Amino acid sequence: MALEPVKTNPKASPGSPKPAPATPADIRQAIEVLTPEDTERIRQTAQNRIYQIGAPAANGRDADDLIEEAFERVLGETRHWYKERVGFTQYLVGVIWSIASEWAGYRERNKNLPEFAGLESQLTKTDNEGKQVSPFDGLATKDLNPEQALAQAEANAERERHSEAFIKIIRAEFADDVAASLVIDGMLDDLDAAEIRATLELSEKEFKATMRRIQRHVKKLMEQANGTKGA
Amino acid sequence: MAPKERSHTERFEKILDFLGDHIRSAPGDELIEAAREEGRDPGEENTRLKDLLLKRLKLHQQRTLTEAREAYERELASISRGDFNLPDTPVERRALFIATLAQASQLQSAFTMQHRDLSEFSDEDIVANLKKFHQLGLLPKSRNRDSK
Repeated sequence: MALEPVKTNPKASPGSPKPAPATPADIRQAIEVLTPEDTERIRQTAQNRIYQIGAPAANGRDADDLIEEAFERVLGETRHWYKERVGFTQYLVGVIWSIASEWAGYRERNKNLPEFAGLESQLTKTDNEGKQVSPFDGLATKDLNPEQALAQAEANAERERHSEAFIKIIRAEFADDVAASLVIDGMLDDLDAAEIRATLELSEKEFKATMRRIQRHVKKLMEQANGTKGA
Repeated sequence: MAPKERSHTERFEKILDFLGDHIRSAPGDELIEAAREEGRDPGEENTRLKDLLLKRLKLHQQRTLTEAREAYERELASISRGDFNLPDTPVERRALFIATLAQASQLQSAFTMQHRDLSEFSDEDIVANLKKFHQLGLLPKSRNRDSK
């Protein structure tokens, strides 16, 4: 079944009873009934997000690490799954997007992050007052010193060069594939899937096949760039 | 005003975001097909990922249990450290115990139901219960103020 993006922490409407967060037993049950479609959606989303944030932000972590980190947050106190409002897969996918953005943000703000750190949740310690302390706390800097600013500029320039090269390769790959080239143009013009299909007058089947070709090529490209094969 | 030109990074991220949104909303059979095209078995992946999540859940529950046990042990240690001063004699302790029960009427029935007669309580029982009352803040105010 296709999933519609939803807010992961919906507020109860006035007058409706306050929803209760899912218990560990609810979560266990939800995992046990995950279908292959569900697990593919979770896995492919995590892989896509790892590609999106890039290797420096991923910092040696792979799709499984991202899934585990998202799941840890669901189990912890910071995020709650309200099972009456949203399905488990849909919720976990939303958390995966959010954690990936967080990783990208950490890398952006903290060029001195430890390389190949494990999961944040695994590294989290409890301080003397019983408060959870992230290993990344205190690393964020509002004002970069000249050395850090230079390092950031270099990292951004490198990412920009890689991105330019990736786009050139994608364009070249689809030079003779008019449909794929136009779908990519549509993506870059901020059109959504329905608008692209309507503009290009593509049938659902044609659009799906075109998306698969693009997905496949981008995946191959990212694996070559990262020197890894998707888990 | 001309729109701001996007960087290559922004453009590339846009493509990946679009593909990510597509994965999020695509019909399930399309995802299964994609996995098979990549040479993966969605059934095996299903088993593997479920195992991974269930293992994490188990670890989390064990950790929660350990933390709760540690908190309980800290609590017990705090009680046994005797963070408050008990009356010096068994008679005074019994008097304090009965006075506390008289004040906390909801406890009285529970204690008398269990033991029928408060006189059956040994001094050891009374000391243990006074410590619990202290932890719960049930001791008469003047006695709580005596505590450290």
